[in-house]
Amino acid sequence: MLDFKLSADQEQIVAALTRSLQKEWSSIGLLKSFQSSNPQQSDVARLGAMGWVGIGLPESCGGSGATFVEESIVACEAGRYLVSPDLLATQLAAHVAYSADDLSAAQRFAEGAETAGFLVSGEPRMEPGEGAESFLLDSGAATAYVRLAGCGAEVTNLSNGMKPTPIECVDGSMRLRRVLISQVSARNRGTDHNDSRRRHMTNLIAAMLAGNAEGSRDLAVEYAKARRQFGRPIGSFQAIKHRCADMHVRARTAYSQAMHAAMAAAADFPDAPQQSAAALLVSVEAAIRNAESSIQIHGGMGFSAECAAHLFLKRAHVLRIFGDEMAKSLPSLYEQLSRRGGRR
Amino acid sequence: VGDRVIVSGQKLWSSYADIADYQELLVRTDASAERHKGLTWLICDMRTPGITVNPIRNIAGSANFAAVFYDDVVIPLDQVVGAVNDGWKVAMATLGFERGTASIALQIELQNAIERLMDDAARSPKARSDSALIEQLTLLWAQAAALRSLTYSIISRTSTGSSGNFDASMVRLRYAELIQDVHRLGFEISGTDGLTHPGARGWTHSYLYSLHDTIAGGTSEIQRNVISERILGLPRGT
Repeated sequence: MLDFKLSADQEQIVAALTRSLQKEWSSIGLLKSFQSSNPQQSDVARLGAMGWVGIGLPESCGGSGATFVEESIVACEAGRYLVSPDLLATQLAAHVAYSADDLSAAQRFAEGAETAGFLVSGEPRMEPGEGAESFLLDSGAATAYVRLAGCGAEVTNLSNGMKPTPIECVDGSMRLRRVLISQVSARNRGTDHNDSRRRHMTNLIAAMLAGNAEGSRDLAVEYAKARRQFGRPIGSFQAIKHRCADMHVRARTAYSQAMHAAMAAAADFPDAPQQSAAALLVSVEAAIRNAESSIQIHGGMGFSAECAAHLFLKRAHVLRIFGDEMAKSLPSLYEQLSRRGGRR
Repeated sequence: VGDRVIVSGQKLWSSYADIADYQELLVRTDASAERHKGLTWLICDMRTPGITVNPIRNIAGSANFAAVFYDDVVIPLDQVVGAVNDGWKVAMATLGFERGTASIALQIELQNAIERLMDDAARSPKARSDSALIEQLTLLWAQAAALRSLTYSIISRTSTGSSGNFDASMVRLRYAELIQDVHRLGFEISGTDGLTHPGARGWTHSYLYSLHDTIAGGTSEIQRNVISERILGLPRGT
């Protein structure tokens, strides 16, 4: 049986990361940036300087040489505090650069000197247009973008002189821009044709979503204890507390599966692809349903943009879309299971 | 009384009481004590005089539990587990097993049921081309995998003493809901075969039988109370 107990080192990672996140990140700050529709400045550069971005990279390029498991732990804690998904894109960029033997680029990403965002392809349209479009998504500071290439991933910069069109993002704390696909690939910074890189990314997204689900639970439980109605805290009513219990079960289940997927990937188990696909499915469900529940528990406040509850929901959907992107052109979980091979 | 306990009363929902040799009994031994105090946990020999077992037919058509009647049944004190009037502690330990760690075998059975469901779907041309059904099946598989990860994670932490006994309620709650989802789907994709009731086999029986899972061993509502009050620290209702 896999041992899910965090090691002393891993406990320290969580404690240290929580300390700096609690101090520097809060949904209040994120709320402000959301309200001013001014994307938050790069939190990932700061995390990189503290060593969190490079935790899973070899020491030869500025990393700490830890495993997928520690990376997933960091992604989960970051998700709890709504740290930008630039964290994951930058980690992916560092790994891709490292496997393309570009050590200096890998080090820049690992240390947060340069940060990356995601490039996702737009939905195919029926009417003939001016060519396929894509979306650039980042916290506002990214200079590189990771996108899918074949069954792997690549890091790219925008061509010089090109002007992506800014559009409003569903997650108001992120910068979204539209770009024509033909304008993107001019400066390739490295490609990694390994589908395990996509799975690695899927695991990090699942971990960040599990953290997001825990963040929603914490927000809702805290509110249920504080908010009084009919002379008692609303958390004493079963209609509320049972919702909170369901949120807790969803969050812990998603977290456990995200850790299982990371451990299976680190140990290169034959069922690692299935565990990873399962982790994404349950963590997407957990994050979205928990965020919706949290809004419901906050009542009218929850529907107000002044309450942080909606930030978790919108971030969860952005991560869901990234997760779907990672799964593109890889065999689905159902296909994997139907093949019987690695089934346990 | 002295060196023995005399038991009178009745107990509903005793699983397999009609075939059992022994039974776990939790009886009130101090009438003046409140709620969880004054209870004693006993091992009861089912052949003791004064015991009547009436099997109860359940909604799935089988009869694997019973109403048991006790008419001045004499149980010697050496069949007390723990101490007299301290039975609640013993009961909580055995319930913890039932709700959590002992369920690994049941979870493997659950995963087998999902794989049987996938086989059924693969054989049916209609189900095979139903993408919503495929999606549902995949999600069920993922949820069962995640439930096992959750259980392992709780066991890993229990073995080092850092996990509360209450975590088992999460496993019980999730398992009960999941097994109902799985067998309901199996029953549904059976189509018109669902009209038949071929005894204790097939999706008809297993679907109907799965409805006991959110009731037995503490209802799902009780598990949610435990999780929200004991783990999350939400206030008790009045």
